[in-house]
Amino acid sequence: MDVLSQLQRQLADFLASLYREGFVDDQFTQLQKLQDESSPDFVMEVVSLFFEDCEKLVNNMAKVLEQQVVDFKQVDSHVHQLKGSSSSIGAARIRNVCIAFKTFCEGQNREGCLRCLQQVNHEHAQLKANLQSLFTLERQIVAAGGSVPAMQ
Amino acid sequence: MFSGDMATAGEILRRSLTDEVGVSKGSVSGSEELHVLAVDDSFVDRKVIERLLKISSCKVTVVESGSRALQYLGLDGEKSSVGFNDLKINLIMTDYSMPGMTGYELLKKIKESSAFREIPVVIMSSENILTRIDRCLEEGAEEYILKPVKLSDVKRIKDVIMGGDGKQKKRRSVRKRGREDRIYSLSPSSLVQSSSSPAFDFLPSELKSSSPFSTLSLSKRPKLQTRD
Repeated sequence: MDVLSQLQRQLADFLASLYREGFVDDQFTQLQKLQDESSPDFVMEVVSLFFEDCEKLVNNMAKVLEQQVVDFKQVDSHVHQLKGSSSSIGAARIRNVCIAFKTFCEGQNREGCLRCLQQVNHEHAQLKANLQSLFTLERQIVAAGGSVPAMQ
Repeated sequence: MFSGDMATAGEILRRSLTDEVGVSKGSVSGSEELHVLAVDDSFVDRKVIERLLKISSCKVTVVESGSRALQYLGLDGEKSSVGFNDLKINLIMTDYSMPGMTGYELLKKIKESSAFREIPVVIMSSENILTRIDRCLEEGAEEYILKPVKLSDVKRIKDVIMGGDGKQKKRRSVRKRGREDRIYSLSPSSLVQSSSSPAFDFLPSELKSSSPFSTLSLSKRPKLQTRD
């Protein structure tokens, strides 16, 4: 198998595993469909926006959670935002943590919230690393003369 | 912020606002293209909706809040002697939950305006709350769709809007891997179709009647009837 085919095979397998392990879902596929010659870096751009947004929200939540008296409504509002944007890009695991997170906010459970916050951080880091690998693979394919097909 | 000089309001206002809010440079054939005003407070969602619309051959203006939307439409109370007829918006898509002014409040303001009440407004929300959906549809929203918004949602809405003029397009029933329908509207044809889907059970009882036209009795306002 030549280099290009190998890379393409790698990409397909890697992407399949991301779906299988629930890192990304159907909405991520939707994003791929929105990328074309006129917007070749769309997925990467949105994903970057999301990670920035996520970081900002996590920082805000951490601040609120370390207060003497926690304003759970505030935390909930940040979680709601994060849930929305993770859902919009197909970051399934992060979205799922947000669902649990919301429940802890409603229950005014600081410990639970802090655990979820940790979980969000963890998932954020994992997803970021995974998507970076994905984008690197895509770049390698393009560099080897191939094109990145719209994902299934 | 746009300049205070409202003398040649229409064009200038639109240009300076569009510089700020980011109008996509659509194709040259302006008459066929739908111009959509999208409203969402989330960066990520704005980027996605903009792309969804552009790739569906729509001209897009994206703003981050209801008040910016009203500003763009010229409904924010700023006195202008020039009408905004050249501001041809064909569709407004707005998020429901936004700080300041919700999508529902924006919807109300638009429907209260003589200049813009005919513009279809689609509400987008991550929350599947029937009372909320009901309220929005009653207030005159064209559709209430669940986020995350997909390409097929945009295509469908576009078809409905462009297909318009008395001709109700058949609504493809939307199934998302067994989950309930994500799209709600009061258009008679869609209700007739959805009566066969289990999701129909989730609709408020007033909407379940088998006769499509009796659904119009839900509306407290005559205008909902005349819209069809």
